[in-house]
Amino acid sequence: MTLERRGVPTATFITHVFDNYARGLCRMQGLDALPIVIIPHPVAARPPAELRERVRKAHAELRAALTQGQSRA
Amino acid sequence: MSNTRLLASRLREVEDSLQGASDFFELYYEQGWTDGLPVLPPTQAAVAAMLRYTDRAPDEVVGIIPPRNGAATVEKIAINAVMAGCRPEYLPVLIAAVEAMVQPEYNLYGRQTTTHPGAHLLIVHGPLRKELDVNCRQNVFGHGWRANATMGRALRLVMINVGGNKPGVTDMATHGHPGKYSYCMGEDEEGSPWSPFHVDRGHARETSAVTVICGEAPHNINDQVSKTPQMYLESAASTMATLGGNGLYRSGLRSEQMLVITSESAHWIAEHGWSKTDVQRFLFDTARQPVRKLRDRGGWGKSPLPDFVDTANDDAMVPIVPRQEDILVLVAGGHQRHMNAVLTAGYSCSVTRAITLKDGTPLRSTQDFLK
Repeated sequence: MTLERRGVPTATFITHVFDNYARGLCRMQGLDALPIVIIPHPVAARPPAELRERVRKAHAELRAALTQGQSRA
Repeated sequence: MSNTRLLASRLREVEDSLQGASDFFELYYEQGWTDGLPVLPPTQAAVAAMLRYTDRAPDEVVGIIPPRNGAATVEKIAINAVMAGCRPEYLPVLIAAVEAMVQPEYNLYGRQTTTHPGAHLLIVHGPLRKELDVNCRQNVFGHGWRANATMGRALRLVMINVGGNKPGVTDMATHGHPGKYSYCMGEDEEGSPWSPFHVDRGHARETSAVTVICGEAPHNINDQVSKTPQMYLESAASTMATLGGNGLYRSGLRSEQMLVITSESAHWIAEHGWSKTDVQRFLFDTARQPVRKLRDRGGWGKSPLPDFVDTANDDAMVPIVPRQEDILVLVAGGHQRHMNAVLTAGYSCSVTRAITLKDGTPLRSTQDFLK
């Protein structure tokens, strides 16, 4: 959030169980449009192949966050 | 302490008019303004009575509480203190505690939102500990003392109602711990063979102070048999260097871990010629685990380890804090040779702050406000 406020493009990765938490914090901090990339939970101790597949799926969202996110305005 | 005679003999019946208290609690609970336990109504009279115990203006901002970034004014602290059941004269302690919690090294934003089970342990030092009857002996982490039960609770209510702390929404603690209802203790300075904690941190002995430390639940260490301080403190070191703790994996960052020992044990250790610094040094050297046990476990690889640890060497021993002075030693508790480890997440440092008047003069007695 601090980086976004300074105009640095960011993409915040969270797993889906932290969705409400992340959006709630963004609202409290006045950054409703903070680019958030949501991936399935859990991440810890999952097989590398599964994680690679998740990263591949999240790639488009990541690119959108960094190029069309709040700090681009 | 409690006296059950009145209940047993039915000398007092509860007035029907007090039903309003239950209705009040239901209303506040539904609004999300409580910790789940009943709260007292913060009536204007009750809040005004509390505000007599400060020389600050009610609208003075004591600290900004994340994640909502709400302004903890003197009045809002007083309101939450009334709700928690505090006596009015506790207010100066709570103001000092909030001031301490918003210092950058405490990392309150992280502590309010983390998955780690940290609760804000409030430690009271100096003459006000005695004046306000803050328990520092038997059952020090337990129930039965109003000051301990309600001051820690008041801080939690400030975190909830001013800071926006909400379990499962902004407070993502995976398990939390019971100290999140209230976590408050006194230091047994009179029972200590060593200098008081706040004196070690530069305050005069006659100055009252608070320390806040974001700690896990206290973990008991029971050693009734060891005949030397080395053996006895090895038991403590073993508990403090547990493979599931954060300390071993975060010790390259500024961090602290705390050991609470009783007056009885502290005197026994001191009789063997050990200073508090000796205890800290021993625990720093002994509360360690070898790299081979830590690699690819716990929080391995997420944070730097101290420069003096060769992580390529399986036999290199990893400490739980960066420096020996980061082992905090506090004297409190009742009889017998139990100890308690209060472990931390390692992303936060404790803060000690004097309890003062507005101009910074140490407060000698809460009764000074009434003169």
